[in-house]
Amino acid sequence: MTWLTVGRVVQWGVRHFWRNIWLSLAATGVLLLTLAMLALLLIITVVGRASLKAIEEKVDVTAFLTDVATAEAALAVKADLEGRADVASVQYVTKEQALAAFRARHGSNTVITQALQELPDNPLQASLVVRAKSAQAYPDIAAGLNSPKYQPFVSKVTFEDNRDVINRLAVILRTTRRIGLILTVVLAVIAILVTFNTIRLAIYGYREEIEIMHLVGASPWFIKGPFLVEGVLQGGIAAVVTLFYLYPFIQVLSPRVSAFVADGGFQLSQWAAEHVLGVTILFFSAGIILSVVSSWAAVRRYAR
Amino acid sequence: MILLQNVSKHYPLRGAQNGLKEVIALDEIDLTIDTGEFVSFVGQSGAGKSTLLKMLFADEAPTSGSVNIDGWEITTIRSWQIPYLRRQIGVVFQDFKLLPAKTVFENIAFAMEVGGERTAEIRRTVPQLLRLVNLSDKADQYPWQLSGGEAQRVSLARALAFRPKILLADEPTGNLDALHAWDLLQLLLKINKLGTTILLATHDEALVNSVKRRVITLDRGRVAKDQATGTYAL
Repeated sequence: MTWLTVGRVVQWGVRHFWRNIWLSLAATGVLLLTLAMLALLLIITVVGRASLKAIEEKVDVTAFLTDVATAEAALAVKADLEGRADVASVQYVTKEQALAAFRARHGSNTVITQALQELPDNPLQASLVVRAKSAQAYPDIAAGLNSPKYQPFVSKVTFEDNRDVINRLAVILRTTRRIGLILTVVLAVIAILVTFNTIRLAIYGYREEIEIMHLVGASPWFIKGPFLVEGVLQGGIAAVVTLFYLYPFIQVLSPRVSAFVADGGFQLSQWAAEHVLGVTILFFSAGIILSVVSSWAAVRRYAR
Repeated sequence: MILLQNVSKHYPLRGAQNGLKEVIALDEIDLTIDTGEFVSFVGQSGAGKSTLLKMLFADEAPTSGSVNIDGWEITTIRSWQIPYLRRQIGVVFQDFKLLPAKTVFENIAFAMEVGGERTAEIRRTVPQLLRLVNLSDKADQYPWQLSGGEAQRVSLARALAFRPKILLADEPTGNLDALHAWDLLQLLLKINKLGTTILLATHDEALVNSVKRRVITLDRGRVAKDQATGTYAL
């Protein structure tokens, strides 16, 4: 195929699009709905993952140390823990740091501050705060700290068991994504069917032209090409419109999402800005692939 | 050169009754047509004239036998080769097959664009073709503004766009009055004189008789007569 032929195929495809503008708009509209569903699915996935990560980060195991545990002993236990494959970080909190944190937290409560002053010693214990790489590892880490090896230094091991919350959230996220995916696939199938029939209707209008093209020796690509170009246009326009409303929508949505997720640590708009290229490619390829696949199916039998 | 050897074409009959399962359109035809010949195919409706012409531009495949047209073997031709074959064979149809939304000029240019001809070449060739068929003044008119004879001449000009070595005309005068039919015949003779092989399928007795060239009479799918300078006689 020469550049001349490619140029003519593109030119005829654009002409087809305009000549059947209402049919083209119908196909573009359905593609638009599918891409909207995809956009929603994308937002749910991104926000869901951020929430899960934020909650996971809140979980830790705290090993309170006995008073016999010297700083050296505490650091030795810390080094041991850091050697484990499932441990992400270990923070050593001294008695003094614990007291300072306690005071900071309860500074406004006069009863507590007075009670502290009455005490001869610092009543708080030093501790090791352990963060695991995954929520599943906490019970094992806690069990390890309770082992006889650390008995003299570790008085108590606590961990806020958020695994239930995490698991529940993961299930909700998985289910939502699954439903979203099913809806997207259903809409994609509808989009393919509508585009397929739209192109078939258009082909019906071009049947004379196609017949003559066959008779005068047009190659199959010359016959199919303009319809595929029309498909690319429909998919491309649907993607442009989707991106056109998606980004302002994310700007509006972002502060509301931040209020709930990760205590304001997650900004949806920032995520969107960082992934602008990926998101653009995603919507363009989804729109164009959907549309071209259906156009292809529709014209296949017309180009013998 | 066109060579048909033992060519048969059978169409399956749907809902066949009385044991008849297929229609025999062509029955063991053997023919040789030399380059530059003007051959008229005559015969009643259903004799196989159109089927024979359709085979020559690969619109139909023979059920058995061999069809060779200027080195192209129709029985084994691959689908991707068909466009190339068709650019070497011009075809004129009874119903003209012009695009109503395109002007005379555009109808001819369209065929050339489809065939991958350069735009400059199209701009140069189309006026020449229109001159050849005496339609230079109708270039900007639409098919519905033309008489039957004019429309058929546009169709002829389009068929000649790729300077074919062979021109097939399937009942080209079927929709024309005697005067226009005569005009068209003179054009076909002129084109033949320039070296193009012409195969004409027709019912038009006066036309065939006036040509005084080879006439092949088909009857129920068989060659009933093959005369070097024949007349229309069924």
